[in-house]
Amino acid sequence: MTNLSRCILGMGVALLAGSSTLQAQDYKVIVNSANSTSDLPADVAAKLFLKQTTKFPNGTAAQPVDQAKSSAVRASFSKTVLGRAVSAVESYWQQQIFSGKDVPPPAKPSDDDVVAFVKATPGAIGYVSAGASVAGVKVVDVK
Amino acid sequence: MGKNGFAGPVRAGLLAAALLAGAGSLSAQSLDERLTLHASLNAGYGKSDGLPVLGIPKEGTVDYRVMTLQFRYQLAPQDAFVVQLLNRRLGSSPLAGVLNDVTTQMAFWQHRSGAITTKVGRTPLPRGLMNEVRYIGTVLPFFRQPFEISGDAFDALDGVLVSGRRELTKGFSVEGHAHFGASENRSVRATSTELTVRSSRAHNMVGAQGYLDAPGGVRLGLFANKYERRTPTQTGFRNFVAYSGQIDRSFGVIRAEHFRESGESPGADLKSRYVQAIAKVHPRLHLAGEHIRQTQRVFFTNTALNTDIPSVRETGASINVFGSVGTVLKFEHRWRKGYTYDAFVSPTTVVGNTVTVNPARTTNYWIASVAMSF
Repeated sequence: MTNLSRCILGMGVALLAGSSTLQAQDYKVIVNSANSTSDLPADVAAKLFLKQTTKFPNGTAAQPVDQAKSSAVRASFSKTVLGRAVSAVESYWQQQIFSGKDVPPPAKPSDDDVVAFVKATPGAIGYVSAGASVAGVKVVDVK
Repeated sequence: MGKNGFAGPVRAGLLAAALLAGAGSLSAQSLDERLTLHASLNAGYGKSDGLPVLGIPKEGTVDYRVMTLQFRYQLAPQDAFVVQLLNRRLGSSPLAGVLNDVTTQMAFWQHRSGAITTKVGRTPLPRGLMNEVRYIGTVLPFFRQPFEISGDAFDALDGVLVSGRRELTKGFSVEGHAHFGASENRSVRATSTELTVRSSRAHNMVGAQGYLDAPGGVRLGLFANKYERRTPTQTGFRNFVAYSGQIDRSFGVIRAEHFRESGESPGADLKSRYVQAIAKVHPRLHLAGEHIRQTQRVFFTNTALNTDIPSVRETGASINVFGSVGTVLKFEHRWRKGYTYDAFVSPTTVVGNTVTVNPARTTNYWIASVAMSF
């Protein structure tokens, strides 16, 4: 076995043994007020935002909306709910785009824009800063 | 010009101009709510210290790049039409002579119905972990996917692709892609006496790619297909099988794949495998290493003399530096030993009924490249 092979094998063991850490929740996940969903498992929410699932558990067709790449709330949401850094999510979407599978959700520049989108779109799901005003939309518990 | 080619340099220039114009904003351009434009560039300088390899000569070349330009039109929530144009320059590679300046790498209609997606037309072919994004430098730790795995072949399928995904319990899921159609295949192969560029068409290609995804970023894949291989003078067949494994975590990735292609008319038996590791030491700095092995059977008229040769043994290491706007700078060094170069290296010597495997040749080469996509 070459030195490189040993190095790669060691890294594989480390990858299997590693664990992720959760950050404090400083965002709120919101849906359209007509959506009956009141809570979502984190893995289901992640699949909705990564378009690996197209419907809420209640059958409503989902339309996820994202925040700007540079926003702090996106960094927190990505790390906690999607389980990866924003850069890794970007890499995921580059793979989806150029394999012809799908394109990422629209990214809105501010909390207000996300709230406006969710309020106007029946199947929308988004996230905003913990302190953002969420009048007219429904906050769902993601855990 | 091939049947899929556009009007050469003019279209290549237009593609480059469109790509560079789009790079200004580095974000997907929505011309309206339904039409999106995406593009990628993967361009580099390569230099070898000995034999020319993969289009990289001893004197170096900057004529080394891949560009894509993708248009996606969302016809309806469940339907889309996607076209992706491709421009490649392969330096001094013998393959450069059989490439068009611009080709249509994708042109398909996509329809979703629940968990099932159907694509009709020219679609990317799910075949191993990275085949569908083989040209996209921003998602690859090296300039390219190991060429011994991808070849210059099977990047696209002319036919029908049906895909599905199903969630299982405890975080497991399965994904399947079944295909039927045709594809193109270009390769440079060392026979017992010469280096040859082979162009052929795979017809009646039928097969599938399956994946099992498990918690912890574990992905296991199995691909198999069979097709008729047609050239103007021969019709044969090929069987193809690939095994894939990957662990993708926040701090690193390790993946390995084993491919085998075998068939007749002409005879072929090619085994390729690699293991690759990426350490994400910082969000803007990744280090990668990989080792590639390929074994090729050299065929003789007297089949008793057929001999397997270690056609490629290659180790690569790279540094990836990520910019803030979807760009990646890569510096890679590769050590190759074997018989597969852009110049003929005789793999065997035949005396009477005895075959001797000649000493393998070694070459180092380097690629400095920049990749961007949006």
